[in-house]
Amino acid sequence: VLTMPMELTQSRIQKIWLPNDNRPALPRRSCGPQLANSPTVIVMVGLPARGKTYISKKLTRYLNWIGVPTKVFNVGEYRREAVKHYSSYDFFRPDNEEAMKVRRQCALAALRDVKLYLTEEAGQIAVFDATNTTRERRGMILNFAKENGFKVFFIESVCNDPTVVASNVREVKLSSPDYRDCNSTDAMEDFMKRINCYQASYQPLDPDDYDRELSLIKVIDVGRRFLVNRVQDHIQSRIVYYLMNIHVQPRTIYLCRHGESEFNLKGKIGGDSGLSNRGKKFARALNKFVEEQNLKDLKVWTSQLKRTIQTAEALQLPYEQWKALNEIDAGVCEEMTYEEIREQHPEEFALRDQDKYYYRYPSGESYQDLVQRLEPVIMELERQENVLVICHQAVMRCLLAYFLDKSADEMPYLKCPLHTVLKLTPVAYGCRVESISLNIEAVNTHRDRPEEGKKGPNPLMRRNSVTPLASPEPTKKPRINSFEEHVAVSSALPGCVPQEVPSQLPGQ
Amino acid sequence: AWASYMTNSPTLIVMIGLPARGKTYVSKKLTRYLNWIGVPTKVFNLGVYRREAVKSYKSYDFFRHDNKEAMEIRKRCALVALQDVKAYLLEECGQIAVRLFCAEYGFTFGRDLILSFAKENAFKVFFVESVCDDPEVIAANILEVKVSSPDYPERNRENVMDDFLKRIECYKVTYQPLDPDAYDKDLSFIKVINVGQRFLVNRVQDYIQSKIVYYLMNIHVQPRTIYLCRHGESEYNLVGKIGGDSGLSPRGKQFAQALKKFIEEQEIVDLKVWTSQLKRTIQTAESLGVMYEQWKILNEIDAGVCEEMTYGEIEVKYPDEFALRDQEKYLYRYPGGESYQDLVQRLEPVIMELERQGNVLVISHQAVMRCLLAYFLDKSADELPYLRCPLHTILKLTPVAYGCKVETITLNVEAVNTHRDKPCLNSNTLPAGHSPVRMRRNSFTPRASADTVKRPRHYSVGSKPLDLVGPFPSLE
Repeated sequence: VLTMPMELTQSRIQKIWLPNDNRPALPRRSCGPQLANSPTVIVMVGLPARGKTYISKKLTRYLNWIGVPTKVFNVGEYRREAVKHYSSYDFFRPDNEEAMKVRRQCALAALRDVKLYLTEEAGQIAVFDATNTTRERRGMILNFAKENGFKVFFIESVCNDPTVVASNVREVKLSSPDYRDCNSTDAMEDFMKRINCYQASYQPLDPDDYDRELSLIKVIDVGRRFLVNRVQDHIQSRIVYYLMNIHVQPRTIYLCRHGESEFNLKGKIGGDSGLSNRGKKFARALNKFVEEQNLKDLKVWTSQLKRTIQTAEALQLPYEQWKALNEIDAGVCEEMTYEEIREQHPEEFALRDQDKYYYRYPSGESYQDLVQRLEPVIMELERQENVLVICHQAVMRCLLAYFLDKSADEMPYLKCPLHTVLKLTPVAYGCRVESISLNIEAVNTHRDRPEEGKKGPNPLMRRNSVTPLASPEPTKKPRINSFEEHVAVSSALPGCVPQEVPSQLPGQ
Repeated sequence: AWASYMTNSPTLIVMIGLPARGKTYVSKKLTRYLNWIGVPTKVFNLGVYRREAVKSYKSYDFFRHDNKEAMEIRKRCALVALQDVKAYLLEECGQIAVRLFCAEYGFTFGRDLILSFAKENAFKVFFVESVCDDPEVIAANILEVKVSSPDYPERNRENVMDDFLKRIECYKVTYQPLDPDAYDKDLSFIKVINVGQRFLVNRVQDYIQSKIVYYLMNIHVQPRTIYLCRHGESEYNLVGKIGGDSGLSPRGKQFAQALKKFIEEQEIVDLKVWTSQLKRTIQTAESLGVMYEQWKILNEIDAGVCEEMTYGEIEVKYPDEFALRDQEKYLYRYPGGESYQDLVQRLEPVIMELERQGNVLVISHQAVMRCLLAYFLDKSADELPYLRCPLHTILKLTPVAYGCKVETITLNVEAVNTHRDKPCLNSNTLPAGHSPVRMRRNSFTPRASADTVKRPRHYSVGSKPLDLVGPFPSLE
């Protein structure tokens, strides 16, 4: 029987061609390979204050933004749920058997949640954020992964520079819930002793010998050097590339749109019009603003559309034009007003409001397409230091969603008004954002989410068609109720004798 | 404004490692990739200089570290090569010079020479070291490429293998691998261990080094085949319209059937099939009855305002644009659309993933296929838009030695011809006010990797002879 090429229909929101026959569906790969592959557990390794949580959160934010459902499982948070009050570093002493038991239970609880996330909650990558400094603990995780058919990728952070460690401690540890009742000096002292507790039993990854079969990356001295072993697949390769491009130097990223354009005034979308008078005023105000910021070495990036370039020209600084920063292509709707679109393409207009993230303009793009297009921009932003990006509304929403960890759902509705600069500075585990309006009037181009935000059917995922998910809230489930009584009395009492004597388990 | 990476210091990539570690392979491949993404790059192979200087190769004795006269020759060749590198980077607008540096004259000396040369000239240096301790890999390398080397014109295989292994032993005496913990800790480099099983990366300085590292980490040497073809003939093809999103014509559907049969006959293990998101490629893939992935970035070049017009209509409606395109087809961007240059940038992730993969069939479009082909066959920006990619024809690419074998397979289903040759231009057709195109960030211009320079003389053209004492020593 001849199989004739099927008649195709185009999905209404994403404009994807699919066969419309009634044959049992070909096992068409509508997800990218990384989604169809086995889920992956990323295992962080390293002494405390080596940046594991920082890397975990940042990597997770990136992976979710490019559309790979990822979640962090931080064992320390499980521990804080289980042991309501942290007294001192004694909890982490290797001879504190009771505490060891609790810590092991926390690790197991976290692994149970990892399994749930990867097998039942459509997670693709779970980041297991703990010290994992012993072979024994890593062996246990490898067995767990093997039993469940998960891939494992280790990320070890090695750093012996005392200034870096001290700086990390100051940046994120002193403000931890563990130390809320402590002054900084005491907290610092306690934390250093806490690190010491791990030192003796720390077995770094050994890719030359013991760990030569494992897939891993060793990040040495905050990215000065990397050791990479046995990268298995596409997503691990992307993870390695990302880790090699990020840095921790303080810097500022400024995001803004072009000055108000002629088309903005008329309510037309897309096109390639020049600045209005107010837009030119904004460009001059931006120049003044940038001067006042007094930055050394500011890079300026624009799109290749006239309105961003005109804006940059007023700055009298060298700037780079990126085609990738061009506004979302509205296809057949280019240069129309929303009213005209509603009249001439009523169905398209309605569809867009129904699912603004996935919706692709006929012969144009979707926000989902934009994210893919912008990924190299994000990668280069990570490499750079001070940058001002002059772009467009939809583009700016995508970039902002990356920095502020916003989901696909929220992204198309983020507020990015004209003549307003967003100043982003990395701080602790996230990003501080300051909104600076340059006080030049402009039209409002924002359209809120319509009242009846009826969600369409679950769209198909395609290769390199990405759906950012905001990094999910960490799961904090004690799940060790039987131990709560044991540890109700402060774990700082080493003399506390448990009912059973557990075998000595080094590790978390 | 000019892209900042273009105004950065030029970079000297130094390939190091014992013989038969894949240095030439990696140099050529890396150079091909860099040129394709628009970074002018050229290889300077010391072996070529040496072969010019020493007309006949006697035996591995030449490479013994105690052979002082031979050492002298090798040193001089290295210096000549460096002069050529300097000329390329400073005077010929080269951005990257890849220098094959085969453990000459005691390694640390050589390394220091390079570093001081680079410092004098404000070049960045990035080392790529290939380290291999798997004897099977080494033997395979020797058989694959060395046997056909000019060094071994008339020997039989066993002698070659034997001689070459002895040559390696000579180098081992003086070879000092990069030492990231002490002596070389401030250098920028990547150590590739056992053909990509493991990597050590130290002090990546900039964007281009980061891309080089990423590329090296994604390539592999497993045998595999890449098939490139276009969608079957489309309805628009029949009426001569470009772009759009039409379906297959009856002959196009026939082609899809023939393609299915062809694929089955090839008996390919684990074939991945990729299409664009335009109907015509998807229809073609659907008839294969296998899984396929849709990539938006494989879509045909966007012709902007000229979409869905015939060339005749474009010539009438936009005569200036039409003329401009013929003048500079690679850089020319359709109004509201794309250029080949934009396409190359768009396709870079496809190339990167093709490097990672094994057997792949890519069903795409004329301009897209030209870009991909230019990458595999090392074609320049000039040639790229005129590469022949007819409908209903499959190009079968297999990696071999330092390059790519290409086999053309016509599936004998008639189709229209969509190819336009480069027209002969006279000055009357040039529109007024055409200014040179500026380079922009991430706007790429592939150049074919230039031929390796072979200099018989002991000094470069145009520069004064090297200040060396005395005539060349004889080898006897």
